Amino acid sequence: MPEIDLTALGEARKMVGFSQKKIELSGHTVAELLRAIGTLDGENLYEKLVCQGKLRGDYAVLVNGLSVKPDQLDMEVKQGDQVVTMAILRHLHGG
Amino acid sequence: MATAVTPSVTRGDGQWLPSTCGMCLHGCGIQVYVEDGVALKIEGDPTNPDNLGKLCPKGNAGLSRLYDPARVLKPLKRTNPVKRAGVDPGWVEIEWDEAMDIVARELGKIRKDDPRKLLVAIGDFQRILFWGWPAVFGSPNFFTSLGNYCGGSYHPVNGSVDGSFAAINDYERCNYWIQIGSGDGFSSHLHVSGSSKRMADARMRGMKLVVLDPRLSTAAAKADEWIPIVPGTDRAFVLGMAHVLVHELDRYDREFLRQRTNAPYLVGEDGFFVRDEKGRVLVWNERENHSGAWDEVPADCVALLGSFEINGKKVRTGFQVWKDILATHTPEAMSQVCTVPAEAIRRIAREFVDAARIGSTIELEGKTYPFRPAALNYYRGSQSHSNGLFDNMTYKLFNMLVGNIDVPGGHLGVPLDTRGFFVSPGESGQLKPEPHQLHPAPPFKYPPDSTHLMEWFPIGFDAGQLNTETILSPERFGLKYQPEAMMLYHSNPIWNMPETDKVEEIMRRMKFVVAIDIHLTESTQWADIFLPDRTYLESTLLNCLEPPVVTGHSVRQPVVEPLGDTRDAYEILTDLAQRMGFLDNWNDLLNIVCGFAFNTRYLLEPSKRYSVEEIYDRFAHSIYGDDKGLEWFKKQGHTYRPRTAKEAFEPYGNLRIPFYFEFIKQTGAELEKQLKAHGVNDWPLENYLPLPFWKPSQVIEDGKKGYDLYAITFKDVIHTFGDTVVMTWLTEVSEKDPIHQGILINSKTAKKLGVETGEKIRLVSPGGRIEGRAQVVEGIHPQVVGISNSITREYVTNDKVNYKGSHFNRLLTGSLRYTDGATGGLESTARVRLEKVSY
Amino acid sequence: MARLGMVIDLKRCVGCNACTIACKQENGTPAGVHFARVINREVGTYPNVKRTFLPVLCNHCDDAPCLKACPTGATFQRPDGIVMVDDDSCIGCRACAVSCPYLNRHFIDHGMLQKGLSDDGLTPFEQVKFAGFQEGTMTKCTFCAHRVDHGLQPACVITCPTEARIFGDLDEENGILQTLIRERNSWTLLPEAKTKPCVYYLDE
Repeated sequence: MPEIDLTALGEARKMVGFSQKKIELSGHTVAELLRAIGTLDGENLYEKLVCQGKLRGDYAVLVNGLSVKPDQLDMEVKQGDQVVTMAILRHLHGG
Repeated sequence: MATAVTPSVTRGDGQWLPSTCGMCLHGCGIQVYVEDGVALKIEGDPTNPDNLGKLCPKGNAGLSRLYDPARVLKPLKRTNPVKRAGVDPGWVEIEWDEAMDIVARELGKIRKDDPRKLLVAIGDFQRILFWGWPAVFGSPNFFTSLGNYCGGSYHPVNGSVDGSFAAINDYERCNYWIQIGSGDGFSSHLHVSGSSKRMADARMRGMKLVVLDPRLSTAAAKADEWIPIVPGTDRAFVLGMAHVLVHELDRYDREFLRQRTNAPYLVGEDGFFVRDEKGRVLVWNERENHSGAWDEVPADCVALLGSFEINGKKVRTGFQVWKDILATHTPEAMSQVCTVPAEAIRRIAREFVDAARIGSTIELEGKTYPFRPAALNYYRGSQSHSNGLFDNMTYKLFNMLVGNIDVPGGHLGVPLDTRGFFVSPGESGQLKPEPHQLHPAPPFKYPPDSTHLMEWFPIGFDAGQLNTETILSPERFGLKYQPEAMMLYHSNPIWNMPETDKVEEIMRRMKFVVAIDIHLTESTQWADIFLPDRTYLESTLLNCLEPPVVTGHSVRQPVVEPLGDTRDAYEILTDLAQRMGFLDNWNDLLNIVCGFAFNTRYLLEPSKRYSVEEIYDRFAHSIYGDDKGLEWFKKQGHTYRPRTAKEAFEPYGNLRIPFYFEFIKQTGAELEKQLKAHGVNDWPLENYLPLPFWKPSQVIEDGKKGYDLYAITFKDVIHTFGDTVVMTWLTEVSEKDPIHQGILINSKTAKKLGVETGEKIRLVSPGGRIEGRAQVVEGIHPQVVGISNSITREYVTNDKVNYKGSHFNRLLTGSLRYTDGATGGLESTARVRLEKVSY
Repeated sequence: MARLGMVIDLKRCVGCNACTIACKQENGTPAGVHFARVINREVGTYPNVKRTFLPVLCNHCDDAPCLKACPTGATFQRPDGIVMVDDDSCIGCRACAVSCPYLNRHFIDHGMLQKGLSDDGLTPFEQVKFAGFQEGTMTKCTFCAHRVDHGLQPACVITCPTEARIFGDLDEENGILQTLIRERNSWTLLPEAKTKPCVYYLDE
């Protein structure tokens, strides 16, 4: 069972109620990891972040600093991987 | 040569501290000599390969900013409830705690009610990491026209072509340089002191420089050839040259267009690419005379030109489509528009293609690259117009005709910062277009969230000028709330936005305004609370913004004890976030924009308050490793090094760059559907087109209504656009130059109108009117009046500034009609008529 | 002994005034006093018109009229050619200013050291820098003698973005200055004044 370092930022942090946690994962993909993380309203991150099998456009999942493409949720996660979930802020300003 | 340890001031035993210039946004390397706590000299940092120890006049004047007696050094509170332009706010000094309490209370109320009711005018590019503060507050609103005069159309097109933010020609190798409406290498843009040296070196080795500008600018003065042109018609000149290459000379880089761009992709009569059942774009196999998927037809069989039939439907290559468009853009026709003689258009096109050496190669760092030492460079003046998308596309396509995009000698993309080009694969072998470089494209929304309608600009920038139209006519755009408060952060919207009267009307409606700045300005005069920030010589950050030939970060550090009772803007923003209860979101935002999310060792904890030093220490470590933190930077100054050939050239690799901008047409079609679904039928969609051509803009139309002259504004290297006009060291020099003494008018035009130097005149445009004194000169197009930025400020804290008040932006109109509907770029030229002012 | 001089390459110069302001901060001159300046002119008529940029500073002439005009010997010339003013001997008669055909002598009038950026009081920078001037005396460009004596180049030279200013020894026959003067079209200002300037200009 791989142990994953999970970080949740912004809206994702508010959904899960913590900022950083070690997660023992019984599976080995990003999708399984997201399903394994419960949200405060009784659902899980997969239900929040994924729509029709693809990562929603307004959220990002990073594995060891590299972002997971929307249709790559079957990507493998391994022991010690750093996974970050976060909402993408679109209303940053431009000059 | 001075070095970081050699005392340049002979009095004694002070010390030199490395830092970064903050007099414009770019940030050249500096070193500051400090003795007994007093800063006595700023010099360029000779160890920095960016500016090579050089500094422009603004950088040399930095001490007069630090020690400016007009700086605000303690928080201020308004006592006069009457807010009006020219009315004294009755400032009184208060303590920080009281000031922050008031701001947190007033903004807190707005945040609870509807955070979108906060308008934010945010500037200060070097602190770009903090520009997300309004987003975590909850407001999408960008109430300023800061960079979109220059970058509104420029950045999206650069981002789409090669994932760059800006662009410049190859100073080291270019032999024929056409420069249009830009001060690159002379007076502005992309680290001007180092760029001036590189340009001087290029001129010395015999590079030919042709400058198009309505005014005899510094670049034009130093050019081999100055070609005066009517503002907003530069595109016509270049389309005329493209016609010459494609139709008359039949000379262009076929292999580049065929292999490096999507020019051979087949286009149907609907303007979209033709795709097979798998969604792959088709090309034409000219050897076997049939179509095939782009990745199935052998490279040497792909047709670049031609009209064909597929299943009875007519198709053309993207290149053929533009060639057909160009057929009518003859030098004679384009000359009618831009006033440049047709023979000059022909001659320069021929000289350019001769100099481009199509087919030649060069070996650099062990790799062979195409060598194209001719390039067209352009910036604000040539494309800050209401058809700015077409302007930018035209200049890029003209460069593509000689195959010079991102190759030695040619036209090179400049990334925003150390992250380099934003390059990833898109559809059918093409580069994925990245028009939004500062933030992801906001999804469409109706009713819109933002007062500048950013949700309706899927490929555009932040069209700050639209604030006036939306806030004053909310029903037209479905805006469902009215803004009530404003934060001014190193931005002066009353000065920088068009239609000043309307901006003032919005100011009048604000229930609360807070300003963070170092000086009082036209806009801060409407504030309720003024919070004094520290200058660049008293604050901390790591900087990297658009360095043209180097990459790395340089440090800004306090070189003296901060003057008075001021606070670093980061501390102000963070304190406000904490007081209003969103420190956790603020830290998470910094985790994302500072990149800590990508290197979780340096993550900020949500509820902990970090100092600005801690933020940049983590930032440094997260990029440069364990041994390079803020302390390392404070001693060593920077990590700048020249970009390698691999970093600078052909960033697109095997991906095809857009020649035919199909994605723009697709985006427009998608937006149209969404707008129509919500009953918005009058949104300007007509510029969402895949290829550029000539069409007159609103400004040209205005000429038919008796506004016979064009008005432009300009800057010289001695000033930034508006903010240095309060600095005596600079104005006492700039004011001696006739071009900064009044409204420039050509002697022939002046004679016709009976106007003499020194005479008071009025300019009237469809949008407004200004007055000033006439300055009769030779070096300006007879149809044009020119206004130096240095005479445009209306309220300055320095009573030694003599020439002021001719506020150019009052002549502009910020409405949609003067905006490029696809990019949000605004029209920076106004049509005017000149009146004599009688008493 | 070297004969110090300067060559200003007008082809490289872009008239930016970095020299003017670098000199201002290096020497901390009072308001309105500039040892280094750039004269901008428009030449010709539209469309055959040019803008020319002419950076000027003291020419440290070999045959300096200011030296002869000075009645007290306050103006003196160092063996390396730098023309300087000894404040303590200067009586402020301004004969030197009248004699200089280049307008490169500057008088520190009464009151000029009491106000700087502000009319009331001096900034910390000005307090340090203005202490080096005396009211009622003449002042001028020294080729940054205080820097030169430490082996440094003048402030206007090191900051020049286009490296248009080259400072060095005119006595070196094959040095950079003489080579440039020989190989490029070079001239000095107002040769008819017969002052033998040591600042040379290279044509555009």
